[in-house]
Amino acid sequence: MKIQQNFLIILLITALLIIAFLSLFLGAADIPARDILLALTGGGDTSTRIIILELRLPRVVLGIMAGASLGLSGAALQGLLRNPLADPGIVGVSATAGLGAVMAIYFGLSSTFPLAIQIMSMAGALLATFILSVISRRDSSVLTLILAGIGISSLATAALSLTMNFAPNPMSLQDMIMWLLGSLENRTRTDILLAGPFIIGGWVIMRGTGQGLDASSLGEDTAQSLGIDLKKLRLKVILGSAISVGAVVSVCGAIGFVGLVVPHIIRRLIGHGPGRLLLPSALMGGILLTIADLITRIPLGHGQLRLGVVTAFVGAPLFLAIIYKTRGAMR
Amino acid sequence: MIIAATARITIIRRPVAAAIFFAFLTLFSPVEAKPRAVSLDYCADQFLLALADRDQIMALTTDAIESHSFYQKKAEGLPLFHATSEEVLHMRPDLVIRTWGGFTMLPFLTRAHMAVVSAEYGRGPDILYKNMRRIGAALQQSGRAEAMIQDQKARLRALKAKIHGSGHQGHKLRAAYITPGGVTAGANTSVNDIIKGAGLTSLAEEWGLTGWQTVPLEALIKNPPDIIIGSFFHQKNLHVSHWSLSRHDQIKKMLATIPTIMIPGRYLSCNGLFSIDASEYIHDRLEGVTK
Repeated sequence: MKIQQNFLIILLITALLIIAFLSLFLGAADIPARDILLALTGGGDTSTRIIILELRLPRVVLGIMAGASLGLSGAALQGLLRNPLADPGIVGVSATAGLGAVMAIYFGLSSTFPLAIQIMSMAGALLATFILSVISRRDSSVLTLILAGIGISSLATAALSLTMNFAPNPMSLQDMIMWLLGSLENRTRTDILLAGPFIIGGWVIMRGTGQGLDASSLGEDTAQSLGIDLKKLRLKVILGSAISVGAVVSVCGAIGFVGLVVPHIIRRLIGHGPGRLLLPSALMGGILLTIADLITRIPLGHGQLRLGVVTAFVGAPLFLAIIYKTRGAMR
Repeated sequence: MIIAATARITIIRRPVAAAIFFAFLTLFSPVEAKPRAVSLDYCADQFLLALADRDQIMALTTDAIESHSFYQKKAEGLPLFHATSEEVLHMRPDLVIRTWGGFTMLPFLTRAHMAVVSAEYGRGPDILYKNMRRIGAALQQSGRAEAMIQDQKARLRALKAKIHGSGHQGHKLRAAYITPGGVTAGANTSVNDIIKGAGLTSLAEEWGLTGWQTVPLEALIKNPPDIIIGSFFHQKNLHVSHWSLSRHDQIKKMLATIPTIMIPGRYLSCNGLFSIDASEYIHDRLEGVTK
C-alpha cells in the first residue's frame, strides 16, 4: 500500500518529535517527569539540569542529525548510483574518518587535547572528500566514483588495521575498537558545534538534487535531454554525503546500516522515485537512530551497548526482510 | 613512669603504634559525617574498598564483585552501578574517585561542583602511597591510609629480611611470567617488580625486554626458566590466545615439568596496588614448588 508523500512526511515529523521528546525521559538515572520538565525550562537542581540539557538533549539532537544525514545520503547515493546496495560507506568517508579517530587514539592526542579525536576524524573525512571531488571533476563516470570510493575505503581500512596492529597497549586497542562501534554517550554541545556546521553544510549542498535524481533514474541520456547537468549533480551528491557523513562519523563513530536500510523502508511506503525518497529518508533515519540510541541506554551485561551494534542488529534483519518481500520486483 | 611508657611504645611495632595513634585521634575528634563516595572504575573500586567505611560507599562499579577484584568479598552486598555520567550526577555523591575511568564525564562533574579525586598514573611504592594518602584524605580516612602505608612498608621490609635470611637470595631462581595471551612483563612493569620483590630473577629483564611484550617461544625453549609465574589462566572470561605461545604444546609441557606458581589475577591488577600481597603470595609458595 502506497501513501501520499506529504502525509508520510507529516507522520514522520510527528513520530520523530514524539520519540525525541520521550527519549529525554529515559536514561540511566531515574528522574521524575516533573523534574525533567522543570529542567527543560531552566529550573530544578544543577545535576538534573546537566543530565537533561547537557547529556540527554545533545544526545537526542546529535542522534537526529546523524540519522538524518545517513538516511539522506543513503537515499541520494542509491538514486545517483542507481544501486540499491549503495550506502554512505561506499564513498570511503566512513573509513577515512574512522582512521583519523584511531590515529588520534594511537598517538594519545586525546589525552592532551579533548577534541583531538573529532578533529582528526573530520580531517580524515575531508581528505577523502577532497580526493573524490578531484576525481569527479576530471571524470564524471559513476563507475569511476564507485571504484574510487572503494579504493579510498580499502586504503583507509588497511591503514586502520596497521594502526591497530601496533596499538601501544590493550587499553588503546579497546578504545579504538569501541570508538569504531559508535556511540552517542557523553556527546556535548561542543560536539554539536563542531560537527553541526559540516552536517548542515552537507545537507545544503544536496538540496535541490531530487529533480536531477528523478531524471537520472530514466537513464543518463534522457536526463541530459531534460537539461540535467549530471556532472554537477554527481558532485553535489558525493560532496554533500561525504561532508555530512564524515562529520557524523567524527562525533558518533561508525554507524552502519542506517543509510542502507532507510531508503528501502521508505521506498516500500511511497514508491521508487529517488527524489521523493530524500526528505522522508532523512526523517526516518533520525527516528531509527533515536530508537537505536534508546536501546543502547538499557543496562545490558558488562559495559555500554554500542550504537553501531544496535543499528546492525536492527538493520540487517530488516534489510533481509525487505529484500525477501521485494525480490520479485528486483528481477 | 613516662620512661617506662616510652619504652613500651618502642617495643610496639611502628604500624601498630600509628594505627593506635590515629584511632585515638579519631576517638576524640568532633563527630562529623564523612563524605560519601562513588568510584568510576575497577581500580578506583579497590581504593574505595580499602580506605572507606562501608557506609561511605554509595556505589562501586559492577567489576568490584568480579573474580579479578582483590576486594571481591568486601564488595558483596554494596550498591553497584555502571558508572555512567547520568548515574553519577543523579546520585550526587560528596566525592567521586577515579583512576583511569570517567575521563569524558569530568567536565559535567566539574559543572555540577562535584569533588573528584583522580589517582596519579604510575607504578612503584611512591606513587602508590601518594595515591593512598590523596584518596584517604578526600575520604577523611587519612589515618586508615597512613596505617595501610605503614603496614605495607613493614611487610616489604619483613619480606626482604625473609629473602635474605632464608637463603632464597642465593637461589636467584630465574622466573618467566606467562599469561594466556602469551604476554610477559619486562622491565618497568609492576609484575616485573613483584617477581623481583619475591626474591626471583626476572628472565624477561635478562632478555632485555621492557614493558609488556610477547615472549618468543624459541628463546624460551633455548633458555628455559627455573620457575614459571603464571596468571589469568583460570579466569573464566579470558582464554588462551589463539595466536600466542601459550597454546603451544611446548608451553604446556613446560607448565607441567617446570615448577609453576599460578598467581590469581586479582593480585596483579591496578598497576601494583597489591604488589606486596603478590610478592608475599609468590614467596610463600616458593619452598613448596621448588622442593
